[in-house]
Amino acid sequence: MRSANAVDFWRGLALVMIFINHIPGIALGGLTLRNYAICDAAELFVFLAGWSLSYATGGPLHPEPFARTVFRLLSRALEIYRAQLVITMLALAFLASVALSTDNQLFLEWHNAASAFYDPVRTMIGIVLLTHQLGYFNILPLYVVLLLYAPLVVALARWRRWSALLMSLAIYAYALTTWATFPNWPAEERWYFNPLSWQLLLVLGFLSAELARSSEKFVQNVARLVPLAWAVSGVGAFVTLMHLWPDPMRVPEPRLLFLFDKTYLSPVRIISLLAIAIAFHAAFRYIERPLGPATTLMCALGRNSLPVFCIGSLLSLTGQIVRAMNEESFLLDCAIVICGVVLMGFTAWFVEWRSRVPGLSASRAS
Amino acid sequence: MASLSRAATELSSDCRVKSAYGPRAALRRLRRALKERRTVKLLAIGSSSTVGIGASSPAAAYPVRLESNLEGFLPGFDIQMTNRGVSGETGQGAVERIKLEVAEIDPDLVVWQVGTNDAMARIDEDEFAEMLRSTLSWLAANRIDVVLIDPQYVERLASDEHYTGIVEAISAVARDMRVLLVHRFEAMADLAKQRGNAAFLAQDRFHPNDLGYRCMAEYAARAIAAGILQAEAEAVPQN
Repeated sequence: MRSANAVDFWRGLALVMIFINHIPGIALGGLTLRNYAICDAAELFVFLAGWSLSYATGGPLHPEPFARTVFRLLSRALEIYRAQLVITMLALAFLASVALSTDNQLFLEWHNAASAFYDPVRTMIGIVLLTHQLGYFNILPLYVVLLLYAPLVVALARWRRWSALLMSLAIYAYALTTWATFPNWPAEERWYFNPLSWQLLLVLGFLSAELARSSEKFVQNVARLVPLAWAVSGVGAFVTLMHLWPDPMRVPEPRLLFLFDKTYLSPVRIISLLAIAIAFHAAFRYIERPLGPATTLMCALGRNSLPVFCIGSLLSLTGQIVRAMNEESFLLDCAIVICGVVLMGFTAWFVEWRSRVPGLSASRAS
Repeated sequence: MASLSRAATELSSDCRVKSAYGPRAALRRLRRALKERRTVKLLAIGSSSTVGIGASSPAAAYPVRLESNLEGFLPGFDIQMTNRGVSGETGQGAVERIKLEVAEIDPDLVVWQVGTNDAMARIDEDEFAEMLRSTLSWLAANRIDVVLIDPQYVERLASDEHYTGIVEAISAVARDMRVLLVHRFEAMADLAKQRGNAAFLAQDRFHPNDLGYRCMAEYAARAIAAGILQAEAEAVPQN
């Protein structure tokens, strides 16, 4: 088990914010990053995934053999794909049972679920191909694609770092100027998180970690940027709090470059995320002790991000259903958030406990 | 114009209800497009009823039916319907997405089926009304015509105060802002009373069947015809 560290802490916090953001209308929703920044927890999560990629593949000083990196990343992609199928099926069964027990068909139509029930022949294929994603169950498909793409990034970065960045920027620019994306099917929609855009954030996270671990100069330059990062984050907070979002009818072409679009990850969202990352990267050192048990909890969540994310997704759905079936109440909302975070913490604890107990770990059992 | 006036008054016998409409309002941009005889662009936004879930085939979904209804009483015009469901998500994110779709497609008319997800997610009524009002103002500022369609009638939720509160909020905003509204909730409630829910929901009791979609498209087509006639009437004194 890793000791408490900044990456796990911030990732844990991102997981809690994603859990809350996925319960629309909840009272404590006003506390999450998206209310104070142009970017939100999803950007933080993907950037940190890129950062972790550097650690998972040995880093710049002791890179592991490339074949092993490829095997590791493809195995991880498969693991996440499996997780996506499992949580999608659980969510569908959950919605179906609530619809039956409450005699309310609207539960079947939630979050894109309807076509799974009313057009199962095509939708089953869509679920397996990741082209049918339930609303809010759309981060893992992005993650699968990013992991399949990651070996290419690692290979290029090992040759020349700028080449990985150049490739990533070219794909990003292509997506934003041509609206290229991954299609959904059977619904004629597009992926909520466009992998062609979001891959840039993974690459930026990866290259930042590689540079931070190998270049003293990079670390010094980032430290110099801290005041600017605070200023940019401040402007972002002001713009968000005042709802000063650009009007799509009034911005020049290519529009996506100037909007705050999440699906295509407009540049301003990346700038917002980088500013926050630079402004806060050193903060962990100062808040680690004062936050005490909260630090321990967030780090545990961050260390076990996949199972915690999966349980968190199902808990968000549960939270939405509980809210739909009851009168609005601040206390109920608080109870939902507290129960959710406790259960996510239990998940992290359980996963680590299981891996410590001889004979119980999943890999040994199989 | 004769076919237009007929369309504005006639409903098929299966779909006849006492009332299915909100206030009168003019569809000026649509009228202009017809007058200039250019392609009329429609954008359907909404959740699963817009996507056409529950219909026997994609052709039976309401936007497709609406398109053919409009072609029926506007013979010779080219009508292009784009169907964009906005899945599940509520609030600011959905609004930004709607604006982006509108900027991308530049429609003459937006048919916006709204409220079901917000009602289910227990979004605060005032917050919802404010979102609706500001988005409608934005559409008005860009001179894009709108028809709203409110949530479906579900027996189970007929007495749920929050659900009916959202339905009422849509009515109030439509009245204030003089926007056409298909009062689907009331119409479906009326139909359910006349013949029982079964006819409008499919055999598994849950999903709306083709007849339900047909009526929804008829109401929307009729509202649109009335909106064009209203624009026509308002334009006369200027000529």
